[in-house]
Amino acid sequence: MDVLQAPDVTSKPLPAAPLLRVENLHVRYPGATADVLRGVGFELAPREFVAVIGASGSGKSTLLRAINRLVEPHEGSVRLGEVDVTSLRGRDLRHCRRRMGMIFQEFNLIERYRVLDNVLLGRVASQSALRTLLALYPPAMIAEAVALLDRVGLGDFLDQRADALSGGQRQRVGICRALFQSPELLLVDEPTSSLDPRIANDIMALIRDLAQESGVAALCNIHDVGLARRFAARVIALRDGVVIHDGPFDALDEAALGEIYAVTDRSRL
Amino acid sequence: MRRTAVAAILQRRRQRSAWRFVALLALATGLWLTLQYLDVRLERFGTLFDRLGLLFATRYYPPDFDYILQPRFLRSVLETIHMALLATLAGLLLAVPLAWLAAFNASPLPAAGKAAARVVITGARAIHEMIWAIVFIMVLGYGVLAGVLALTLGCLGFAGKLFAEEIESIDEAPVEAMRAAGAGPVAVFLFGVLPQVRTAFIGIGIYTWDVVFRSATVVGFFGAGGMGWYLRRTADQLQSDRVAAIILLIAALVVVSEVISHHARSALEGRTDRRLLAR
Amino acid sequence: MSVAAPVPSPNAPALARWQRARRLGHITLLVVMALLAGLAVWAVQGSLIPGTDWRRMEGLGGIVTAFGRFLPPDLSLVPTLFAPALQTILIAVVGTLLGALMSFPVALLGAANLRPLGMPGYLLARGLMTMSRSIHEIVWALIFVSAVGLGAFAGILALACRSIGFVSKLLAEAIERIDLRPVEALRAQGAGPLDMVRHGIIPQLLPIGLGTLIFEWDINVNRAAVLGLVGAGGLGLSFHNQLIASNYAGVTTVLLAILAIILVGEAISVRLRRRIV
Repeated sequence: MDVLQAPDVTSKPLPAAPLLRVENLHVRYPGATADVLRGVGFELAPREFVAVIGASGSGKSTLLRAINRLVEPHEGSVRLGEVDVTSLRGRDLRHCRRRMGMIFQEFNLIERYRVLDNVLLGRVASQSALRTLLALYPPAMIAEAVALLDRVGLGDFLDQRADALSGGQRQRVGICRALFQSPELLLVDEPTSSLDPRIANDIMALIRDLAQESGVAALCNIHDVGLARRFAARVIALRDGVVIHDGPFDALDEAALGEIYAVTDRSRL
Repeated sequence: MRRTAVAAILQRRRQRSAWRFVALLALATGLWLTLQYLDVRLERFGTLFDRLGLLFATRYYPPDFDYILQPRFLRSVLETIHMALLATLAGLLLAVPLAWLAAFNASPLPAAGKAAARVVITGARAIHEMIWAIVFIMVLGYGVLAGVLALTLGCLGFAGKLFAEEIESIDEAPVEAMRAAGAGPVAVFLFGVLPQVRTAFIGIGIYTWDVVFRSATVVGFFGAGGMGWYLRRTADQLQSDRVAAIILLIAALVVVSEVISHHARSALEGRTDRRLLAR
Repeated sequence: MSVAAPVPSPNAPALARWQRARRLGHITLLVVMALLAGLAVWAVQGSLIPGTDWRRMEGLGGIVTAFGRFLPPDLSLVPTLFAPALQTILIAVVGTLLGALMSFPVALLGAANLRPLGMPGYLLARGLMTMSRSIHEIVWALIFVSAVGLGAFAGILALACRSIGFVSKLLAEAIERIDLRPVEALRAQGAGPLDMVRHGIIPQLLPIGLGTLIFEWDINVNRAAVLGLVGAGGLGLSFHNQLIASNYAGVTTVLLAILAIILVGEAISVRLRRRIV
């Protein structure tokens, strides 16, 4: 099957210095007997927008979380620019995480905080301890956050508590928070799966547009193939923790999609 | 794209932090004034742990276990258990009808009657069982009866409130059905209310036993029966090694009692109501 | 068709099962009742009858006379009770605050999902919780009076220690139920442990923590009123003074004062908790 072959790199040459380089990544959760990721590898250029597709359980979420080390890979490496993420510890790791903004399926907002405070928390890691402890932020920073909220159309809501917002509005707050980090890379984990399908398109468009405006690369997990086709020129397909396709969406035919979304055959495990 | 005015937001945030600061300052000042008023010298706090350590090392240790193994003392332990038993039984027997009378949804009484029942429960609960014990001692003289009555009131106040809350959260439909069938108030309670709350009541009852038993270990402090009296005597005579032994025994008894009732409650499986943890 | 004919109904087995279950229920109830009654008789004969000074009561008349001495309350005492009442309330406030301060680390150690110091820390915390709850406030007060002497300080420390059990147990449960998603978000953006506690955990604990605190304060007012009896000041001390002066009418007044502050405290507590939730 041609999908399983190496991606056709000649069709879209990558720039010389990749922003993110993932090599032979293996992840196994404690207590499990099988790896969730089994030797995943790919590269991401600056400003590139890539969709990761695959059935639930294929390892999409784990892949994102292994990149910023929310889960620990037990083999392989992740490099962000010149930094080997897999070797970092403590303060250095936290500093590196600041360069990667994450957008979550269930928004992961602090429900009791106001919208503006949620966004301001994007910079919590680059602030002095005293400032974050007292939640004091410089006026310039607040102005910046307000402008960002205006950009996503939440200017009127910035004084409301996060738990008073609708799902789509919350995800906009989550997007602002991630961008407010001034990241080089966005890790986006199924941003529309908890939302009304009717606004899924808007949210995806917003993420793509904002990523382009601010020159940020994005790695975006999408369950919905239609959305992936619409928004990403390049698609990485995962199945059972292995990359089975990496390239333009058009290279995927019906049979290949069936293969990607086929229910795992338990008898083979 | 519209632009939100940042100045107004900054102003609001500044005001909010100013308020928070003022509130914090007021709180701190209040606390400081309170400590002055209560004559609490914070500098003593520093030496507190040294002193406690010294106290435990030299006076409370080693505990005088021989003292609590005397037949006279063991007899008082049995007396404590007896008191807790009687008080729990009597208290629960009184609490069930009182809770019924006080419950706003199921009570057969008019508003004034409900309020009266509630006052009895709240009053019993509001006054500490230790104070009840002293009052009963003054009326009835020293002895077990005063302790049992004090504990009964404590039990009544504690269980009565929880019982009433339980009754107030029942499903009204069966009650209505009973009324529609022409049942009298007692029948409504027995067949419309009680079946719904029975499991919860048993759980509360077991939990109440824990609370009452814990109180029973010290309720005799001023002479209302049980082991509390020995605690008083040894403490007054500064026999700290004996006090230590008694405290350890109380803790052990309470833990044993809690383990037993915990198992009884899980055996009931039923509803592990969060409210049972109250207090 | 004859109604009286003993036609074996097709429901007979079900009916028999129903009757058996019913009978079993009745028998269980009877056995439990008999058991409880037996325990009660045992307790009455074992302790209540021999352990009470029945002669001193001098019959019902004697009891009524003894009770009558408490009435009417001595209202002239009221002005002298304001200061002790305030003391009792304040002892409860400071004791609860101190208890909450000590409860937070205990709760963190004892939360089953975090266990920052592993099993030893967890067991230590759980042991402290049990110890705090199983030792009566009077006993705590005795210990602290012997350590820091008579006065409000001993009462505050006693209440704080007595409060740890309940407050930290509830806090630990709240921590166990915490939504870890915001914490994950903070971690993903490179926040340190301090930021995660400050912005991820504390906002979630605040409402339940404050509610617990107010509830505990309400109970602590009740306890503080007793601690005076062993030398911690407040209304308990007033009660004790009236008692040793054999001023029974005064005792009633103090009792009413205690009742009053506790009812006010409860009203405040209910109102405040309703506002938080």
